[in-house]
Amino acid sequence: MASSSSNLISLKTSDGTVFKVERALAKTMKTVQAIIEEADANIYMIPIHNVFSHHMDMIIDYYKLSVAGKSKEFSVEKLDNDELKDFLLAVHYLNMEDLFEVLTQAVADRLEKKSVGYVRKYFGIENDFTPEEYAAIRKKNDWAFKGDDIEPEEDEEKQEE
Amino acid sequence: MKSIQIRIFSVVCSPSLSTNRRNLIGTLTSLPTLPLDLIIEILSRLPVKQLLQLRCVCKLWKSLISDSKFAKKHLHLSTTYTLHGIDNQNYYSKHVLKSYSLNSSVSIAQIHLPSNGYVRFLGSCNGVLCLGEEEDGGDLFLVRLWNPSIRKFKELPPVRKPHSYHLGMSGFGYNPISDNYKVVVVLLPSDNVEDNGNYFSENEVKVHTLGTDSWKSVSVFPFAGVFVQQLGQYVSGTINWLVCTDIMQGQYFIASVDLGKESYQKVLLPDDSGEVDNYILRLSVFRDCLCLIFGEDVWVMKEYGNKESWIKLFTISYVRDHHCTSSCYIIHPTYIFEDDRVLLSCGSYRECIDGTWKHISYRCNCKNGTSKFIEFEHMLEVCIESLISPCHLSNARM
Repeated sequence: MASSSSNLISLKTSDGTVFKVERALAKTMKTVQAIIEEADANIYMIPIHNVFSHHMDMIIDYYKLSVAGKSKEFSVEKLDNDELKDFLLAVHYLNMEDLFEVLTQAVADRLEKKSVGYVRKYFGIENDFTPEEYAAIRKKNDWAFKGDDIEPEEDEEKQEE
Repeated sequence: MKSIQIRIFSVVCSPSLSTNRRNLIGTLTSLPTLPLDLIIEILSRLPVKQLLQLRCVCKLWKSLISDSKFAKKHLHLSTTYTLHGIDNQNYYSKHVLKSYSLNSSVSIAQIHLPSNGYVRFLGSCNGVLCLGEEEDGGDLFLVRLWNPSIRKFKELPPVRKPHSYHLGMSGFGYNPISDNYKVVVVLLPSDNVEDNGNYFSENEVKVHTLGTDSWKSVSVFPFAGVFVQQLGQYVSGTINWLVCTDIMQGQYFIASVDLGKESYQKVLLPDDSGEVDNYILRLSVFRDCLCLIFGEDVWVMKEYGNKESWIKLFTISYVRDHHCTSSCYIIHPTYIFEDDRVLLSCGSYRECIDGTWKHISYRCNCKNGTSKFIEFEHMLEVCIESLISPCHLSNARM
């Protein structure tokens, strides 16, 4: 296994910033770990292509909190939906198990109890049912659309963020 | 050379683009789109009711959410429990199955069971309840599966019991080795009622494997004793019942059947469990492990079958002077949930004698010292929320 004698690994983000991170943090990124292990010689700098410096900042925040046993304090509330999805993709690319779970749960929390229309828009999905098919499937699951905790169904046209 | 390979690898695998790169490259997509495997991860963390709605999103999602592999993944992550009770109020009228969330005594759903006789639970596993109905005056016991979260029913072949036998114990569980479900019933001769209707030296055991069209008799329980709980607890491919061999001496063990091998095993209780009393001993499941509740102490068997792996996890202390509990003669926990919520089984002196216990859901907020009690009408069965459909439980090819 290639290893530099120092305890810091250099990661270069897509926007050209170099982060020197602890080896232990780099180990939580399975993608990076695989690159290190496959390299014949010492790697000076590992490029992480789908990751930007603002992602790395948050990753380092999370790492510091989890090392201090305070991973529950990590919050992504300030991120809007697109920023959160973006961050999730970066963490997915880096293959970081714990943070990935935190982020998928955060997205699920934001989507919980939202309507079909909202979820479609969130994922950018087209409704490929014919009106008849849609009416049929909607009717079949009708009971699932009722109840106090369900947000009212929205029209396709008027969506809220 | 190596670094170029890495660049190609990363571009191919993650096609989404952030705002910055979109401006540079000028792509068609305006929002980061998530690949299907990420969507699956997110969906498997959503509640069942919403997922049923989301089947309307598009054709792909309809088949995805109906897929049994997805149901298994969702089950694995599911932490929502619901409670169910059977209202057998009027013997001659239809029975009502009432479902509750843990937070309120107002039922979230009620269904009428098409039944003519007495209905009871036979077991619960992976979000599916197994119900049994004693045919009025007949030899047949009707059996059904019901997933209350997705409201799907499946009728199973009825089990025939020998004349003058009654249904003693039962269980419903999953066999991970053959990826299949089984129902187990233990039939007991009815003339033993002088001791206790649950005494089982003489017995008949029948098993139904889902996907087959009949019940088969398997070897009888090789031990003798009295079953303390009728409903078997499902834990990793086994069904377990608490058995008492000597009530005076407080001798207990756990009788277990392995659903794969259809063989029996005696599982022993921890040694230093203290004085044991029938009223306060309860077998349950917690975090997929066998759980023994001794009064207020909760023990968990970390390694199934290994007596040395029992550890005392914690002690439950609940406020006794709340109006719900102050009139109770007997009160003890029967099920532990993750979020510090406990299901308590209680009864006044009268109710204990009549056998009409009821359940109370109790939650203690240790930080601010508040507690919340919710009283339910009757005894309840716990069921996890899942998408597992009773209609697609067997992988047997007929």
